[in-house]
Amino acid sequence: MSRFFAGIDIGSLATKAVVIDDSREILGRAVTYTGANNRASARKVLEQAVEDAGLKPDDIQRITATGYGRENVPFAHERVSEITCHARGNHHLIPEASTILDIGGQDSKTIRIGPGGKVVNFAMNDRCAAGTGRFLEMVARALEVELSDVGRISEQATESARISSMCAVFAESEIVSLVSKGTPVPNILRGVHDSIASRAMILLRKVGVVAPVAMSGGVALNAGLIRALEERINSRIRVAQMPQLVGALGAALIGAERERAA
Amino acid sequence: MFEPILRDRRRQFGNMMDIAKSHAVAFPTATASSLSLKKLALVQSYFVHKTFEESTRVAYVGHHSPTEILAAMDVIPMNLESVSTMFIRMGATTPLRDTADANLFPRDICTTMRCAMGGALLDLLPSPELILSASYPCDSYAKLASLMRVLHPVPYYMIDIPRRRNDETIDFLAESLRLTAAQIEQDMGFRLDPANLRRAVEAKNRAIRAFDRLKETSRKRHSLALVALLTEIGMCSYWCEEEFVRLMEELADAEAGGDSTPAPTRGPRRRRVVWSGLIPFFSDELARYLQDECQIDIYLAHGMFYHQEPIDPDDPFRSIARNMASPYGIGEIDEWAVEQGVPDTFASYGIEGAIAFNHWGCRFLSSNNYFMRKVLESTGMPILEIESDLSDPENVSFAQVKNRLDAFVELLHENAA
Repeated sequence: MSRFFAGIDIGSLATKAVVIDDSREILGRAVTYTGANNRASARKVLEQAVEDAGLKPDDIQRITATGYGRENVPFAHERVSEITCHARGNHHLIPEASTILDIGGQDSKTIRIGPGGKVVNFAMNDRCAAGTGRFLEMVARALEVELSDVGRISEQATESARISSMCAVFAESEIVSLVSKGTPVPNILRGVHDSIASRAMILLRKVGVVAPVAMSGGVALNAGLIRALEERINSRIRVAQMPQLVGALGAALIGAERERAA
Repeated sequence: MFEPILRDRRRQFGNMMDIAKSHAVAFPTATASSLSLKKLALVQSYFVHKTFEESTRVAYVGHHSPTEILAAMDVIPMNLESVSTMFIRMGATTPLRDTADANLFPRDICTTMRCAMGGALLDLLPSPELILSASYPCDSYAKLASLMRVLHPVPYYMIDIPRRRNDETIDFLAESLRLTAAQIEQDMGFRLDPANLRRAVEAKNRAIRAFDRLKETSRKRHSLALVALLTEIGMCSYWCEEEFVRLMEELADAEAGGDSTPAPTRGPRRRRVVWSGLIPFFSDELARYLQDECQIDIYLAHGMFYHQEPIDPDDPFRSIARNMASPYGIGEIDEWAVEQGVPDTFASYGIEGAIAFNHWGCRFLSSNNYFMRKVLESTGMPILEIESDLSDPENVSFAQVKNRLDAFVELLHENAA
């Protein structure tokens, strides 16, 4: 009889859940906004993922929580940092990847992985949310475009507007200033992507950019940013089909491994 | 510009006690509240108290000061960084920082220096007879010292320690020390008696021997508490003072008397990590989390590496110069060669990973940790860098730091498995 495992990733913007079985196949998934109540959003997203898998809550053998809100999931059997989980999840989906870039809602991480998806080294941004999902959200709001359209619009750029990468809030002021000067929105967005990519490169160099590079986290859905990164690393970036679920998948995989080892 | 502060050590002591009375001094790590550390804290308090006595000759200094020369002139060194740290450990940073901020002292300067400046502006420090500063290791201290001479219009001496380290550096520095000593004699009338200098050097050499014995005991026992003690001693400026030397000898005897085998503190899941830089002075939250929740033993790099070469009584200026020029007191002149020795020292303590703590505004720690990363990368030892603050709780987010600590601990446990 098959056993089922759930991973829940509580990020600053979104909470994600994945349900897998013994063969590590993804059976169910769900995403919701995190909001102010981590426990409630974790419970809700788990229920949705379990339902998506066609299972009942009692069918889940083991629940592993990750993300910033992982301490706030009392029904989880264990808590694992999202760095370890992203490494495991990416390795499962893109086994050839040696380096991972994960840009989440409020932080960015680069991870070098070794055999079995083991973390060899990692680096994270400090002190400032410039270059993260929250930054892109702010930019989209300032330019009155949908967050999901940001990547597509930037592809229409004729040139890249220069945006400083010092501070998320100051960058917003710069964007407002560029708009008032009549700079086309696509050019501003390309500038934003270049700014994020240059910050990401600093983190990538800290762990060593060894190809193939994979990217996970919701920001990996942004084609404009992927292009800016690929230009810098001079190599194609691999992105899993649902990159925002990679952390939750990694958590579920770790739960399954530990259950087998127990 | 600032108004000069009128010399009144009784008033200044009262101001200091007003702050001190409402706070309790905390110890830096969960393992550091040993009896030896408490004795050390008492002796440090004795010297701080002594600097407020009207008859005491006081010099403001930073780390790497020629304390042997000062001791020979009967001058007690007051290390402004250490005094600042004392206030921070009392939890008294807010009035100090607020005062520095209110006087528009730049916020990009390290918070330990900002607290020292705040303490001076609040008139908590004893008026000095002289101010002595060096361009290494802390460039912020050199700037602070030059501001202090506006608050306290007393003779000010700046010793330039060249960035390039070789025998010519030592010759240059030894000559600078001779000239500075002669200038102090001329300005202050404090005579540098050769017999007094020899006595100060002998005291320093006894302290160095005691420190080396403590370090040897620490290495044999892999003792966390002793490494914490060595770290604290390394930050003291009283190595030429008889009371301090006697305490160090007593501590070395007492610690050597115990069991000399490695302490059985390491459970099956405990891992060993070296902490490069210092642990926030205002809280041991990070250390406790690692030790209690994550089963990690933390060894402070400062205590493991701090080293002073014995002073040659017949040519003290050159020996003093060599110790001042050495990177973080390690005794070698070539920084890169020192860093190459890091992996061997780590191996002798059974270290499995390193946490490099970069203090906001401190270029010295950041560049040291950069060296450390480069060296450890070549050995494959994992290293975690944390950008945080030793002195200002408002510059620290435990939630941010905890996330990367957790990942690092997972990495260590996976490596061990």
